[in-house]
Amino acid sequence: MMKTTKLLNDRSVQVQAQRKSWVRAAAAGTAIALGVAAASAFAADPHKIGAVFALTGGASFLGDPEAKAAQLAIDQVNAAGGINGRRVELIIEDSKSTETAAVLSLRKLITQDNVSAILGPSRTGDAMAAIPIATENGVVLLPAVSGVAVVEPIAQRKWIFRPGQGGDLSVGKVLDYARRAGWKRMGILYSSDAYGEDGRDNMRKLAASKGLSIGREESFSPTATDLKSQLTNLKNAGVDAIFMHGVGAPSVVVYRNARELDLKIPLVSGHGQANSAFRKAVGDDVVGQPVVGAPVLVWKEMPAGPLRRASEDFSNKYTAKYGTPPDMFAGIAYDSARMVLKALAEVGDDRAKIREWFETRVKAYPGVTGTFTFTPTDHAGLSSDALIMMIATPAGWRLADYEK
Amino acid sequence: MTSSDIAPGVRSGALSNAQSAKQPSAPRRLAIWLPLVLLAVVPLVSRNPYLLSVWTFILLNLIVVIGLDLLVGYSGQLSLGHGVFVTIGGYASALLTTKLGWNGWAAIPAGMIASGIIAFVIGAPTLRLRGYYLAMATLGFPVVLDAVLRNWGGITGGSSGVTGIPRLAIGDYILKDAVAYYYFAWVVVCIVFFVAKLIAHSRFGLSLKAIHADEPAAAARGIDIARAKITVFVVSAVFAAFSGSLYVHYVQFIGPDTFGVLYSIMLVVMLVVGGAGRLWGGVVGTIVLMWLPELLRSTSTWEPIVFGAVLAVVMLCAPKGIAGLWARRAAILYAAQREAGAAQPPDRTTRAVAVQGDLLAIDNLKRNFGGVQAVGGLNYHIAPGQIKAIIGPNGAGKSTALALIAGTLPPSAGVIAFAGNNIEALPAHARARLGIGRTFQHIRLIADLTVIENITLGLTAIGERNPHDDKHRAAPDAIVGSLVERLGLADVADAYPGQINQYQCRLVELGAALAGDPSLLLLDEPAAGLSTAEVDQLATILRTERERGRSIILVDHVMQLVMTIAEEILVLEYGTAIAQGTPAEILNDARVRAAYLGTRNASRDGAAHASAANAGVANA
Amino acid sequence: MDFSGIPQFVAGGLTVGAVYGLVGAGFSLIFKASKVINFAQGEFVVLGGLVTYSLVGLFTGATLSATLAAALTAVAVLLAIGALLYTLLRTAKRGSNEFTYVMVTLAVAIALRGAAGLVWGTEYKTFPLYPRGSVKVLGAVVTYGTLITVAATLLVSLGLWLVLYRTMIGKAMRACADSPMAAQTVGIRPQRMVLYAYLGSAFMGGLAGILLTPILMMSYDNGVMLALKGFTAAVAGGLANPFGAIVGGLVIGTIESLGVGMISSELQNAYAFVALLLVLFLRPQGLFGGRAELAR
Repeated sequence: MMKTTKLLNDRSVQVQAQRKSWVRAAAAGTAIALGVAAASAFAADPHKIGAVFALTGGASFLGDPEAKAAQLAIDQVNAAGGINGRRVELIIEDSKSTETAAVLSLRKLITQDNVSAILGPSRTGDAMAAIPIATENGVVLLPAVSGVAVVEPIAQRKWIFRPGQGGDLSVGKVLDYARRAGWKRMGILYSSDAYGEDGRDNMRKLAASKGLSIGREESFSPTATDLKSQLTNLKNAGVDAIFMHGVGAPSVVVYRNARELDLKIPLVSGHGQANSAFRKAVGDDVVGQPVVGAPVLVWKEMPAGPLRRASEDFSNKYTAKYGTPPDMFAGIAYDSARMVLKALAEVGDDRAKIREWFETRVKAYPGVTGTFTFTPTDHAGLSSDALIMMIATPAGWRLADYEK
Repeated sequence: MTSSDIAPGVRSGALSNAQSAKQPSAPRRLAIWLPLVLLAVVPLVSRNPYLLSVWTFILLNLIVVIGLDLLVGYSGQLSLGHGVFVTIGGYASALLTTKLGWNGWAAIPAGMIASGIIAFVIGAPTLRLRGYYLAMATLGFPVVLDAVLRNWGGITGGSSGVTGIPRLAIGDYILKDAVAYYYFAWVVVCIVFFVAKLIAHSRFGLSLKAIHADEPAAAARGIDIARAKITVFVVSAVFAAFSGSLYVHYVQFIGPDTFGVLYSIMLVVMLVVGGAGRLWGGVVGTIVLMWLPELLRSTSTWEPIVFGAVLAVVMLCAPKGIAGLWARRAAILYAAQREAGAAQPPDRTTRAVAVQGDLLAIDNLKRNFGGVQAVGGLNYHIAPGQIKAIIGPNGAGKSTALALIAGTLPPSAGVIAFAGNNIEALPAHARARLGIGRTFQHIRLIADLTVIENITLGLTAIGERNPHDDKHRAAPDAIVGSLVERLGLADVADAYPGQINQYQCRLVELGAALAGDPSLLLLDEPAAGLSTAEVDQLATILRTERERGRSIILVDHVMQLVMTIAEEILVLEYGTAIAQGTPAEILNDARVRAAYLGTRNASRDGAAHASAANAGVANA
Repeated sequence: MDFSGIPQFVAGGLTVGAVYGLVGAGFSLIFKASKVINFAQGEFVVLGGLVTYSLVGLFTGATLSATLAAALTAVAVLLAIGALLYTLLRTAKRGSNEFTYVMVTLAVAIALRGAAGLVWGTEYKTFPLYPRGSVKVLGAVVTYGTLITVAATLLVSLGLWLVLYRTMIGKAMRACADSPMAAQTVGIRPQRMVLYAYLGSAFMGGLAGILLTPILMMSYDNGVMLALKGFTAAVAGGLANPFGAIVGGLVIGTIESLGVGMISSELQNAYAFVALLLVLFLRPQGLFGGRAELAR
């Protein structure tokens, strides 16, 4: 019996060995193929702009429109013959909403692709991780985030320029509106992430100076599914209005919850809601409520001028190409891209020259999100005129009365 | 006695198969270091900062994965939340350096200690869970830590994380250069790998594998399972924290979700794809799965699909991971040890048991399972140097009685006194360490360990026993070596249990029990499935052990063994004793014959007829 | 502490808890039949919602009957996906244990999530299903959406119980879960039972998505958190017990909601896991798990 077992062992071992060696060969072959792919590098001839956006992961609702808008800007230039006869290539890398991937993307763009400047990242964490690398390597970085840490302290942010509105400006808008509306006690409802906490911190800092007090703070996780608990607590705290500063699905749900609870307290939202995805998803629940937004969303109501022209043009082209109107994030990316394109046209590929261009040659530049001005000591480009207060209408948005 | 005495044709038959008999050569043993050596070469091939960055992140993850392999691959504890410890290390370094101005080098051990303490605290209750419950519990840790970090933003920076973390510096030299940091990380990985290898290739490493494979067997060998699990959990947590610290000094930023749930799951994926339980498997898996997204950059929106496909294909075709495609891992302990043991004079001393009276005394021992009384009011005792047997029909409670004595089952009532001390509240491994060795009815060897490794495992049971006859106790290697010789396992010492026959397996299990130098041996049906010649040999072995002063309680159906070596036999039926006496008395006891031995042809010579009558009854 | 909000907190918790429970029941069913944790369970939910959304968009006018037709079709699609997953797992080599299968389901989850991102993009999608309006229960506003979701979950529970305990197929499934070998000796095909388990889980996952999306919207990325919470529900209920999972889900959802309302909303995600950890530490086999679970 022992012999039979031995034979069986032999045969099954043989069969297994055959299968194993086949798989091993396949594994080796794949390894070689991957190695070859890794060794190949990008060719380098046209102007090259890099972009690190969150195309996947939790922040993809930011990265997706940003990438589209940036690509639109580059495509327009190329269609018109490029810059000084040379094509422009936009290399978009996915930061996957994680710092590690953002860092790798950045390094690849800087050392492998030799880009002249970099748009993005989309997310605060990714931006903070990217700043040291951009600084060390001397490449202009345009993070599409609203935190103040991105541009201060200025001594360590020489290469960083912020194309987006500051969170403090957004909160300032809300407080202005609140004061006009005669509200005294505010409630804060913020998302537990960098963006939401930034809004909360700004609110805490600025409320008193505008004569308002904070009655209660509630937060929600970006994956929260129901906010009635928080709204109930805010209502019971007796606040005059609730300032909502957050992104993601909960920021839509909260309006529905408010209606279901028959809340009767106004819900003012920060600029995170200034996009068409939100407007479409929230439907009628937001009608009548104020939301901080960007001119590009209500360009039809804006007075004639370069700002309106730029917004109208951008909005039409974006809608034509992608089927939906652009939002503020797209606008920021579009403006960043166009500024870099202008720099390339005026000073060429040199990274240091581009940095200098940004610091000295951007004065009242009309973008679609506002008018940009950078100085050697202020790398935050937009001022408060870049933000406007909108009121939601059944059809979309309109400018708040006092803004007109 | 050598293995040639066993039925001819059996001898080493299994070993003409495949790999394991020969001692692996030095090159093969060093092969485990190959991936690390190759990693050293990377910066010499290219100084491209992007490529070096990818490799550096790989190195940082290796630090975690190698430690995780000890936990998941060796001891089989699935932790899906190990990012927690990376986060702890990272935040410790980040906060201590930015907020308190500590030197980075001082912050690293602080983070590691904090991580170890937290691992100990959460590990103690969590590791009592098994399988998926454990995995689920560990999955919760990153989520909870994330919420905590965001909530206490005043200290931790909240969702915005900690920025501006300084680089590490040695005096005036700042560790900033890409190549310098790479090699620094590489050195750390080598150290971690070396430490992990020391652990894995020690007796502790064998214990981990035993725990993974068969916890009751591990306990019977004297392994304190709970302590071993926590130890390896803490070790892996400390490694992870180290990685976190190095990360923050490289990226100069950390946030609450940098090492979140997805990262933690990815660690396990990299480990499993590479092949857990081999140390170098995790290295390969990490390299492959971290390069894959980089190579798929141009199609990044398709990357998840490709990644998922690759993972699925690997797991379907190579369930043990890439490393699993290679033959069984090289044995850790080789026959060299056996040779070393044979050179020493075999241990011939009789154990001086400093015990007055009975070695084991049982009073009114009971065990119920629901409404069934498996053992009812058992009184039993055995003196040093005695061999006694317990027999009875199936379901009589014999195995249960052994399990109660060994500690595998707690009693429902009753007192068990061993060498004068009450032991009924002690767990199995503690009793093994006191000197109770056992074998199981269904042989419990660790399939993943060789014969010699299985026996070495039994050394754990010697534990802290500090006998007066210390000078007579030989070195551990010699103990194992002489056992292997004595039991005739020399030729199969490097074989795996799956490659040797039933009798040899029995001997290995006996060897593992003997390695713990027990004063009491509990044998559960050792003769089941053995030929007549083998039973004879077994009897000889057992008698020799009695000469050495060991006591043996034997449960079996094979009367050839029972009747020849037992001085006294206890007969159980339905959990109670129905007869007790010498073999001759038992054979002639009418009640025993009625219950068990058979009433036809009951005769004086028990051996021949009893074994015939038992041909069907045995091997239950 | 203000207790007046409790009924509202509980109402909110039950809604989301019902979804956790359905997802958890899916986990439990597959685990019961094959000892495998199906990491793709969360993706079933996501696909249930997104596929329905697409189909609703196809029919002109989102009438109730059109939506229901879309929902039914989506369920059919989910069943097909469940069967595909099962078939894929069957191709595993010998030498695979449950852990291998778990890894494969994880791979499928990753791939499905990527595919969903490609097909539907990153935006949230929703479709109308529930009538507007609500009722007041103990001072709490309970929307029709909540009522329908909870009612549907209870119905599914009842259906599950009927199938598992009152039909031959259910008995066969339970037999296979206990001992596939013994079941084979009486002519049951364990693999067939495992297939039914996957189909059942896909159905429940898809249904959860259809119930959830009109309330909460769905995007390609939601699968991870849903799976985690659903898994929590399953474990809390005792892994091999689908009803335990549904009860577990309701309990976890309620604890989470109460925690947010009464303690702090910052620690939202933590409550579910802390509750789970407490359950496991005090009762390692889950609320309804039997002794058998302890041994796993």
